[in-house]
Amino acid sequence: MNNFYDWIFEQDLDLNKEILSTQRGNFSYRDIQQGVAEYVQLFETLGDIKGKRIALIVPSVYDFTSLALAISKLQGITVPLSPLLRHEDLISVLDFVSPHIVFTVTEHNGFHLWETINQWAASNLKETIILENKEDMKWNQTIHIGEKYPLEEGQIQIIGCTSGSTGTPKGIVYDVDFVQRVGKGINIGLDIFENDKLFLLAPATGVFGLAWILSTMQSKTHLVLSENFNFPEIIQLFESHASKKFISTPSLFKAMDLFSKSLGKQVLNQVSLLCVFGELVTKEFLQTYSDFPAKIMSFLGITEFGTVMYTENDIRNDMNWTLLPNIKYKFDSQSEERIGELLYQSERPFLGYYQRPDLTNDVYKDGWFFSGDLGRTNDDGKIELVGRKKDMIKKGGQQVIPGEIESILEKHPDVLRVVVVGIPHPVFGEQIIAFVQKNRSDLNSQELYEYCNLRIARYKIPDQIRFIEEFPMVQGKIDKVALRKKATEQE
Amino acid sequence: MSFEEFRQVIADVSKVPLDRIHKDASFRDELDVDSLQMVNLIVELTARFGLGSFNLQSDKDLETVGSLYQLMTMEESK
Repeated sequence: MNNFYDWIFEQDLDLNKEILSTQRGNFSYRDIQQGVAEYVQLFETLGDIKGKRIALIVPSVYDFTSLALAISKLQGITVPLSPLLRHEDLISVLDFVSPHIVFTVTEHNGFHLWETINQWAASNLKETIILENKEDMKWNQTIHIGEKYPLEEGQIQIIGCTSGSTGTPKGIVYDVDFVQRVGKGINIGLDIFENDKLFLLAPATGVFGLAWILSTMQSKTHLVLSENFNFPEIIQLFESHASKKFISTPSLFKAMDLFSKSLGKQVLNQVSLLCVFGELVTKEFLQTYSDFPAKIMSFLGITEFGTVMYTENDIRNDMNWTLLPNIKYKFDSQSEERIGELLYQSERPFLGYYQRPDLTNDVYKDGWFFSGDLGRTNDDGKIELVGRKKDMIKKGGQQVIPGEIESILEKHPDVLRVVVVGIPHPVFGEQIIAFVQKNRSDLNSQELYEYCNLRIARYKIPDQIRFIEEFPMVQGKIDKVALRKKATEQE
Repeated sequence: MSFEEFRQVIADVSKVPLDRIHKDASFRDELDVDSLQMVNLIVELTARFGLGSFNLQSDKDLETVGSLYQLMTMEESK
């Protein structure tokens, strides 16, 4: 299959089956086919789109899905962009990806997306077509005349853009195979059957959301998802669909729980399977939901590679990972404790970073993808993840993995959460700082040093244990950069 | 929690300059707080107020700084 449309629609389907629901309504296969036909017609007025990059800033999930399917059918390339981008990051992404065509809502949250995109296109003297609408889905066209951008070749279906850790945008190239892998993960990990209804709480119109929408459509699974993070609306949507399988990040699930209680609704009682993914599942989360009357499981996905592993057991019992079929793994340079970087391989190659063969060559060698995750195989043959390679601390010639120390300290009954970072040390090269959030006020560091002494090698015991009331957060994750800075300043 | 402290929490969590945070300021239109940031802010505020939940009647309760303050303090005084 070389396009998403055929992948979904070239199978026996009941076209009247509802397959996608959002706040805007319920959509059957037939509705989506109709949407695709309308967009195909629109594209025909714009000329051949084969090999063209088409950026979508379209919060309506129905239109986003119909557009992506129409683009794939006509051999164009979908570039989903977040409506949350603002002037600087939007311009840098546009410069990087050079879209031939942009579909955008006029404004989002008071920011005039169209104006910024239009000014960008006017100033760079390249041929660009912009289609904007004011959420009524009537597209107004602006054509900027100029030199033509080159076309893409090959099997590219999607380019996913991230702002990149250095602030320079990074694009990841995806094909149909990537979405098939995500779909395989969903079907196996969530034990999907045909009339299942999944509720997904995650940004819907990015690469991840698109992969879920397309793969659930292909497997005939009804997907319910929200177009925003307005919780009273989300709860109403969830309630009206009675989904039994709930998928979200741990923090969004906590927010869902908080808002449901605040509205006096016990909607989460209908859940029989909770899947949390995308961020660290903390001890605190598992404790808070120790009595939650549904199985809790998780997925491990890699932005570049798709879903690779899932948990078979309830993660409140253990956090061991099972590989998805057709994914192979091995470890790179294992330590004495058998810990090494996890490398993955699937039947089809990683297509790489957009226009950055140098970055691709760093992570993809001889058909193996270097994940940056450190892990080991336990006695049951299951994979345990112990941390990230880039977080590894090198102390006096020894490698120390923060995740290992964090999980030891978090087993202490009076400890809520631990984050370990490395900071420079004149003798050791790096020293280990453990930031500890405690839940017994008179817990002291001496007690924790003794606790470590009995359990881990001397060189792994934190050089300093510092108690912290709250961890600095950035984009829903603990801000390790801020913690390192704090630790260095206090030296 | 006083209104001044409340403003400070909003400034810290949402990274909005303190002088823009006043009673009638709309989170969405004036402070450019999107819905996900709003969720983050509410989760943070309920933790600081020590609330397990709050009595949300409608979206209007979450529209302005003043309405959110009223919602949170109503629960705090219970």
